[in-house]
Amino acid sequence: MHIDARQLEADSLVEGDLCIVGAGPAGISIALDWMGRQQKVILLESGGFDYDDTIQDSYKGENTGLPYFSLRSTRLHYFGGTSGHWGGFCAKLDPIDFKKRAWINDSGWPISLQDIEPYYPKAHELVELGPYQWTADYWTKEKPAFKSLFPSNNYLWDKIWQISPPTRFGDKYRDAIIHAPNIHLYTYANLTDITTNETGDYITTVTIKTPAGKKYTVKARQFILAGGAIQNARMLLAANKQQPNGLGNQYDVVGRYFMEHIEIKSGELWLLEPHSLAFYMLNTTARAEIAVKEATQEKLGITNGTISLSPLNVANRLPSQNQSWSGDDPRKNLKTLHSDVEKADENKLLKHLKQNYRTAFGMFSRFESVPDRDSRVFLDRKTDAFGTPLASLHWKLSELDKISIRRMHELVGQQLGAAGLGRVKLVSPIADPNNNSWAEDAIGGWHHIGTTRMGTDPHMSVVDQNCQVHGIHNLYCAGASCFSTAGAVNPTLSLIALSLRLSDFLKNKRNF
Amino acid sequence: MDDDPLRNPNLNRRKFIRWAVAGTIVVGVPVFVLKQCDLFSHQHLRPEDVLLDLCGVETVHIIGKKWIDDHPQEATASQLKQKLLQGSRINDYDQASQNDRSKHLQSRIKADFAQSNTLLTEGWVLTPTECRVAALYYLTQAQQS
Repeated sequence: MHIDARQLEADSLVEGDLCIVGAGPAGISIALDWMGRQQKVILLESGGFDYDDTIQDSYKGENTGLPYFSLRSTRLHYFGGTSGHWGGFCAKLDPIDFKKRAWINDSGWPISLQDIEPYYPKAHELVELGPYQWTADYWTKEKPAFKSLFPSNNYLWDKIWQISPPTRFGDKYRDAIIHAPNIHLYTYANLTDITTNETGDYITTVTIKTPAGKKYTVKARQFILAGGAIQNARMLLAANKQQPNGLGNQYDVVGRYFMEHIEIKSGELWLLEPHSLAFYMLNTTARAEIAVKEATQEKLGITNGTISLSPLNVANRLPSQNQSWSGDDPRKNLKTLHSDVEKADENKLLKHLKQNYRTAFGMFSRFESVPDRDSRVFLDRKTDAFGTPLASLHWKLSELDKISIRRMHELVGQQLGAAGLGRVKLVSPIADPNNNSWAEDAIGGWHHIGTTRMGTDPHMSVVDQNCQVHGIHNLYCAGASCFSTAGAVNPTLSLIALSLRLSDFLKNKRNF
Repeated sequence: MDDDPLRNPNLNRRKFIRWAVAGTIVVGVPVFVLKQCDLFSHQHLRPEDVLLDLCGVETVHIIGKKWIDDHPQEATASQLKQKLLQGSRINDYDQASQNDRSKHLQSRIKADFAQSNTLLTEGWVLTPTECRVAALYYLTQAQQS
């Protein structure tokens, strides 16, 4: 069922069992999981079904840290959320991502990959991936052109990625949601406040405002914030009428530990004999990225990361992601990004990879960033049109982040040389072993992670192992905001799996 | 156009290596051998040629000079040759056949890589053996020019 909140009478009271705030991949996945059940689900989306500049404006925000994309342009504020412009690259988290690693401060989740594993097949289906096959062994047998550079290597392995069409959740699941009798989707319903009981351990209602300023109230038994890592933190911090620091923020953790993937051109891989390396190239089904085995990560004391390859002449002509994605308007940025890729690949090399043997490849790194309490989202003094303070970002990286990228490239270079296959060259800004700082170089992958991180200790985390906000019995966060560490891979597939796990938890919750 | 690769760093490095190897072969190899081998397969190239092919002559010079600057005890050709022959049955670097020398150096380079005995120089992940080869190349070219 769909209700345009602008048509509601002011001061209406909407009641339901489960209220999900945010209709992006996390919120929609949970809502779909509740279809056909007895409980009434209220799905709140602050935008409509299409892009709207005035709604998008509430995603504006200052950046006081490392160079980053305009916050207004990194997320989409309408039904379907950022799946409206995502690239569709999917991979699963690795077991090491969940472990406490002595060499990485504040690493470790209170759950393991095994806890999420049962939810990956459903997430896989939701983003319309191919066969549920995640091993290099399967893909190298399936596709004869896929040859591993490092078969049976002691230190390196081929991390498999699958490519979603990409699924636009707003298009794909709109009909299912609005025709589900127990799902009540409210568009143009912007959350402006969260009210608790007197003891502050139970959410009674949330306040919703429409663009015209009409207010109404939603009452539910359970609430899930599914607005993405920046907005989840913003909503908790801005709910500060009863608790001055915001909800779930008694220990000043909400908004902290913001993480992004460091995505940069990092090196050149030169082979001594030409090869297509089709296994590692961008294509429409699956591909591999070079990854470091768990024991070697520990031995080298590095973070988790992967390296993808592309023809060097294409890679060299591609501007950096922050050059392509430099404005405030996400639609224009996306056009520029696509046009830059087309210009860089004027000879259509990416379309004819199997026929194109070459010796020079560009190396592109995607690394997790070290959890850092001072890397954070916080509230600005400026407010949006609804009167809610805007979010500001202070993104920070550490020396270990840079060292890890460099060491991984050295390792790849060593393995390539030992196999007699070729050599690796690191490019600026990674190449200088005496410079581990990040200045103008840092760039992310449009992935917002952390800010309501999962953990057992409320001094260090915001939600518990079930994504419940510490100390508030009926408030949950969904999405990558709950990740304790970022992992090396794009988060969408895993954040859906984690959201489905939360969904399952709520289904089994007593008296619900 | 100046065809001297030492004076013209912009000369395409693949053209240069073909030029350099072809020059060597014209002087020293009978024609029938040429017919049987793949001229540009790395397995037939000397380690310095592999470096030149990958990094380019200008970078090989920089790497070589840097090695010498950082290792003053290896500042002469004879010191470098001695180091390069360590662990080899070859007694005299210059008297050994190019094939024996290349075989020894290539196996040593592979072993260096396998043992993670590498360094970052001019962005390249190279072995000390390759840096010495670059240093020797640098000194030899400097003498000739």
